Amino acid sequence: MKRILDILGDLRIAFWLLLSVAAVMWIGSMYAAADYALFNSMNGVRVQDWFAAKGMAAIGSTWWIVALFGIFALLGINTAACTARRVIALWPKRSEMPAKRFAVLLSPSIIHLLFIGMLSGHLLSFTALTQERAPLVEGATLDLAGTGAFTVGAVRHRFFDEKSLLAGRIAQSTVEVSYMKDGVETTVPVEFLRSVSINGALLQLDMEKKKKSGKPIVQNPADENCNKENNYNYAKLLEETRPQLFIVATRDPGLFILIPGFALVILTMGWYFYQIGFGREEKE
Amino acid sequence: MTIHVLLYAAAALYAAAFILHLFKNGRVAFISLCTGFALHTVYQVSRGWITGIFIPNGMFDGVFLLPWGMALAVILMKFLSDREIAWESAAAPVFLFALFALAYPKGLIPPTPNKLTVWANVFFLSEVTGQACFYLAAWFAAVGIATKRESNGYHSLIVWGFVLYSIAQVTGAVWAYLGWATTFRWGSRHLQSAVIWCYFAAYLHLRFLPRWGVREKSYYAAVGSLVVMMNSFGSHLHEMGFPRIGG
Repeated sequence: MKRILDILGDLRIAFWLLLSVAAVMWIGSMYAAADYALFNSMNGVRVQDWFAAKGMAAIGSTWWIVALFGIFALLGINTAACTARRVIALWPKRSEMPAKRFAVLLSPSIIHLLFIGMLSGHLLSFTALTQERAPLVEGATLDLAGTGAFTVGAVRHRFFDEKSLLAGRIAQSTVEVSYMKDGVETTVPVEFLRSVSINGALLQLDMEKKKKSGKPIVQNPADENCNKENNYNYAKLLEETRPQLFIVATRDPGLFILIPGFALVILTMGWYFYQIGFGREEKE
Repeated sequence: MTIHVLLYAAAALYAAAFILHLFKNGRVAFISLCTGFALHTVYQVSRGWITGIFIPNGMFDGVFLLPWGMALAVILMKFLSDREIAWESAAAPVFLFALFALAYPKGLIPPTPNKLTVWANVFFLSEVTGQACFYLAAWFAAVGIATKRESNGYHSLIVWGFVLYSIAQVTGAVWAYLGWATTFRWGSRHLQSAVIWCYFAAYLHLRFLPRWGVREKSYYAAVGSLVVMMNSFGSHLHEMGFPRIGG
């Protein structure tokens, strides 16, 4: 058992796996920059569904995703074995040192366990996420991603101050959403950055520009950095081309691991590095 | 007179700091760097009002924040480190990045509602200051290689950079969750951010690998600047073409 852990948990393997992840992600980022529409379509769908529908047909530019999942699987195994090896060696010595010293020595193992948890959370997000979207029309009744029926109420836009250079642009949009909760009709506002959870699904807003025909415009590569600023520049847009608000419902089981995991990993890492003086102990 | 005069003055003082360092006038060089940093701080704060109303996003634009973060890190290292290192020599890369900022469009990309959150501000602040630490670490590692000085203080800069960059990964994920309901999006920006994190996570494991001596680790840290540059300047250059307001 010890020999297996020694081989699987070798730190040299960890180092090269981390560099391999970095290299594959960098290659992937080049493909993602070159074909924004293809890779943007991965967001909001399960990776296996996307691969079957689009990824396989473009395997020449999507192969790195398979490689990435493979390397992450190996990294997860390596991290688990390495952590187990360290904890097995450390645990019998816990009574030989002050509790705080033991906690400091143990915390890298805790960080690595949390890292495995984060990898699992991301895997769950990528493979089990459900997302549905629909254009917002006042008075419409929708049922997205298992939310149950909800009704869209009034839509209001708040604009930036008229005296500012941002005048005419939307600063916030508010949509009233009504649904039945415990037999009582409940009305809640949904805004950008202020989502609402209905039956475990998050409701959020999104905005897409329209053509004169009224159809949404396919995203432009210039939006790659989340730059959709022109969609919110109402004053400059004609009535028929004004952007369309969408409501997006997302059900992501990975979030229940990822969000608390993020907080824990930062707290543990911060405490650990503080205890070792942020690298001052390093003998270079 | 526009607020950008402050950035020009700060860049000039960073350049002066490096020239004074070359003339072995370390104390005056450091004072010049500190003065440049003070002016640069006023400039960054002023950017919050660049659209006529206060929008904090203007203060955290990466291109302008990077040399500011580097100058801040140099000043903190000078005061907090117990090592005898000419920290003010880093005025050279600080000036180079300030020079890039001078040539960069200075207005603000109009913020969409999803960008008007403190999580976005904390994300950019921690990401850019993390990158600032990595660049400085690369500079001191390279100087250490050139001067054959084995220990050149870059390790703690990488550790600080890694902590700040990890905070950026977390705050960025929380921001993505609030705005787009997922913590990761398939796109070059998110992938390249993860590349930088993985590269320096690998560095932190080097101390346990006996075959990687001081010299090899210095080379690794120095190459880190290229990794950060390759994975951040693409989006900076791409964003140069975006419409901007103010400035």
